[in-house]
Amino acid sequence: MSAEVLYFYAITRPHSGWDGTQLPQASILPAAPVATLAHNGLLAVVSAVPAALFEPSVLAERLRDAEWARERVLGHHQVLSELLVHHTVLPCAFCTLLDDAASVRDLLLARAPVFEAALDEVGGAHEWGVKISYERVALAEWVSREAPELAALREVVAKMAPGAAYLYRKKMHQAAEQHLPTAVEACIATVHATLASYARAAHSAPVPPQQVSDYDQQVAWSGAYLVAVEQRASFIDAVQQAMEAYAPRGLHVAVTGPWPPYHFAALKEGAPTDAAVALE
Amino acid sequence: MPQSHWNDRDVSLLELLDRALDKGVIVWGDLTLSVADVDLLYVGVRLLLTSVETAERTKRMSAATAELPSYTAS
Repeated sequence: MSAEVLYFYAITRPHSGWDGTQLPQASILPAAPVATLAHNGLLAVVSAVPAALFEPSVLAERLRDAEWARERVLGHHQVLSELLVHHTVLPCAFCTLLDDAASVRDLLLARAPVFEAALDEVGGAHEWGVKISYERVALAEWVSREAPELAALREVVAKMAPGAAYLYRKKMHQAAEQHLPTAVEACIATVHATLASYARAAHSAPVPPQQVSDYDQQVAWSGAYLVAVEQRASFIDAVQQAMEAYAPRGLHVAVTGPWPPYHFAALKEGAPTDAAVALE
Repeated sequence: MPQSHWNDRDVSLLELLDRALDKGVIVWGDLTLSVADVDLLYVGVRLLLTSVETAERTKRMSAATAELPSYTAS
């Protein structure tokens, strides 16, 4: 293996105003400036990095150093953020490495139509991430007080003498707990449908509880939206309306962005073998 | 009114990990990280994020997430 390999950040299509000189100042490593390799209108954004650091067996070991790993993740991100200003970007996964410039050229050549199609899809748009979390106690209170499903039970309790009502309140509490998932699901469905109507494409995924145990709140769901630049203001307005509508129920809607279109850069055809062949 | 305890900065960084570690263009080559490596990395960086922040780290993280506006619920 040669002394250097290429850290591969992204495949891009330059905006028309780009003069070829504005390259990201950030990089994956302090002394590994960002360079571009052009081929047929596609631009691969790379940094030459020491093979001694990024060769697979060594890299796996280095990445166990969480602090080192985080610096690299942030470096990757900063490069992508800077690229996003001037280019349509297909972000590569963190630590995508190719042998040399010939490998990059072969890859661009072999898969040009796929990359072109993916760039067309994400052009003029950004990814936005939305998460919905809930606070169990606050949501259960809202369900007992307001949920239509518990209306009958509420009426019964309201008409009871104070002593008997105590037992029914316990029943109400249990019923509310049972209805929590329904209330969360209803919120997710409504918010996702609304936000998706402003997006060119959308992803929706429930968040497994074990992944989010360090939050005080329970994150229930995560969505990603590919939003055209001209729809951005409407999209953010819709998110803010959702925040305000659901906050009194103990349901929290949070949005981050604009991101490079990580969720929308998956390639339409992607058998591992043909990429591997292209890299030979 | 319930208060949110999310830290905006941590939310953004976790969002970044969720994306950069297993989304984006996947190129299969000899040098690609294994799934096990990615999992380890994910756990390691997450642990680091939730550990006590030094002033140095806070500064770096603020700079890194400056471009990630978080229209986060209160």
